[in-house]
Amino acid sequence: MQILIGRERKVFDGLAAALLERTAVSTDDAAARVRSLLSRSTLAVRIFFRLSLFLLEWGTLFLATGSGRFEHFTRLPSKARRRYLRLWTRHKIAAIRHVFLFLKLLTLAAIYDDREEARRVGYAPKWLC
Amino acid sequence: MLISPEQLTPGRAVEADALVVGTGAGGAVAGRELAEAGLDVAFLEEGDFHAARDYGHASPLEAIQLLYRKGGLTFTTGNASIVLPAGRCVGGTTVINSGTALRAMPGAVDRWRDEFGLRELAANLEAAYARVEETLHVAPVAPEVFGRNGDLFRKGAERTGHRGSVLTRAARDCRGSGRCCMGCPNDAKQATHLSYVPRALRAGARLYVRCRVRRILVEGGRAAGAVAEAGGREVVFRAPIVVVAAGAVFTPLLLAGVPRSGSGLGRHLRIHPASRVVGLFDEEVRGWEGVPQGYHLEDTLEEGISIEGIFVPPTLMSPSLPDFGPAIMGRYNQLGMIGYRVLEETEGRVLPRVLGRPSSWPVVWYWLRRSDVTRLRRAASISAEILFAAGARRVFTAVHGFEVLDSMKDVARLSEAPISTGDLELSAYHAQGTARMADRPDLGVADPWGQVWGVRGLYVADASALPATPGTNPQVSIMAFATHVASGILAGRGRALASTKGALSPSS
Repeated sequence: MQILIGRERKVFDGLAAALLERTAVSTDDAAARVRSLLSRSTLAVRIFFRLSLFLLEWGTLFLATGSGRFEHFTRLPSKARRRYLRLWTRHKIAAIRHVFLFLKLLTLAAIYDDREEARRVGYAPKWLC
Repeated sequence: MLISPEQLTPGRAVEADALVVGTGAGGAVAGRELAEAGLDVAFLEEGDFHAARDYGHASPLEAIQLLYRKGGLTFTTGNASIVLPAGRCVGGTTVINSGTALRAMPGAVDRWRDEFGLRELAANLEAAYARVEETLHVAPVAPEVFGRNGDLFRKGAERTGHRGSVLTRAARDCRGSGRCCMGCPNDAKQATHLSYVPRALRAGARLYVRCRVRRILVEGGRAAGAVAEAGGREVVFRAPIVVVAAGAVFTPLLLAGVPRSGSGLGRHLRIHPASRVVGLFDEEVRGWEGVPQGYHLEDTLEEGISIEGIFVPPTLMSPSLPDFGPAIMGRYNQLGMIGYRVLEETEGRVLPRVLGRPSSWPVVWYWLRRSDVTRLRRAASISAEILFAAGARRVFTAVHGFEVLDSMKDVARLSEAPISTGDLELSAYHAQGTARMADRPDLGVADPWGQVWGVRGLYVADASALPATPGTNPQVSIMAFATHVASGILAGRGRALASTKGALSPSS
């Protein structure tokens, strides 16, 4: 099953940029890591990941309560994306929260698996150098 | 001798005195004992052989892909999706655990003996533990690799009046590299691929890697071998003794196809659900310098709560922190961590088939009980309290609604809060109990010597055989069980095989 192609990749890039709070983030390596990791996972996990990205993209239309913005996730400015991610990862409905926590888990794991990113946050064991 | 699928002759059955399915804490131990007694042992291992040269400098995700089953993305199904990772390599989960080596709590041994009739095991246990500990070089964590993270944990525990101690571990010349769960970069941790398997190979055992057993062969109520998939081909292995040690999730799958008379296969699953708290300190902690799991509390074990030191790299921790970006992540060198898990009342179940078909990852059904949620809440509160007592400015938990704690008042709120299962982010590392040993077939799948009820020559020697939790990290107890199972094999049919080695046909 092909993942992170076309629209999915666009959503993933938006998610990674929002999580890192940087404007210009190259997510090629992170996307490659997610692809590689998921290629070893079960089919159910891969399907769940794709559905989660879909939900993220459409979430702002269906879950954006009280925000005043009803747009696709990828069309929002990064500040608004971060705001929604914060809201959803702390949502009162556990199922919604866990979907976004799963996305956050995979994306941040892939980002901080980069040695430079890990060093940037102060993680500096000998084996990393 | 290590044998890859390419070295196998197509269409030709492989013969041995004993087949051992899996090379983790159970299989490696049983295989070593049988091989050193003179049996012709063949290990059948689904994963490949890796050592520090392969994983020592790999990034966390690279190591996970190399050593973990399904990239570590394996979960339970039920009222909580609990991450349940397991190793898939020579050495199994011993390659990726923390190396903590604790004997079972006295109450657990009493239960094994009195409730499940394992009298011989209880009598042999002291000697079995001693043999395992000698092989693994078990010793307390040395002060020079204890690390600041462990120091802070100990300081906080002392200030809050808890009784704790330095953990004993299976390691030799540990340099405190702080990445046990991704494979030790110095191969100091004595996982079975460095301790038991090499001993077995020196005694003449053969190790078949990338060889996944699909089913166990039983002929006339007696074990006859196994059918495996290796290099895309089906390979038949024949032996009169088969030891299944594929772990608590996969052993039930293999035994499900066997006509046996015991009961409870796949049931009674215990996993010790776990989580963590993270403290932000003003000082530099540099938690990666030292043994991640070096200290634990002893007094909380009495109430079914295990609290131990942990430290993991940003790859694994960043998703669990409450916020994104540099506010917390940017101070990774100031973070201290504690892990907790509960000895649960919940019993889960492994369902061998998904929609009527065998699956590469079965449904692991686990519905966390209310009493265990309460216990997890208490474990989080104790851990947070310890971090504050150690000097943490803020504490981050994996409990919804209490992601950030700013003071002891917040901890008090957490300890009283009405939380539910969905409020918890959980993982688990100690799957066990799905093919229990017991003295009656209505109580377990295997007899007190690990032989599957109703099938002569078929044994269980892994975490699935534990009839009740040892109350501690189970690795050493699993190894003691496997030592006991091997001694039983050698006292029975194995003795005859050992004494007539080479003269006995496996089918006789």
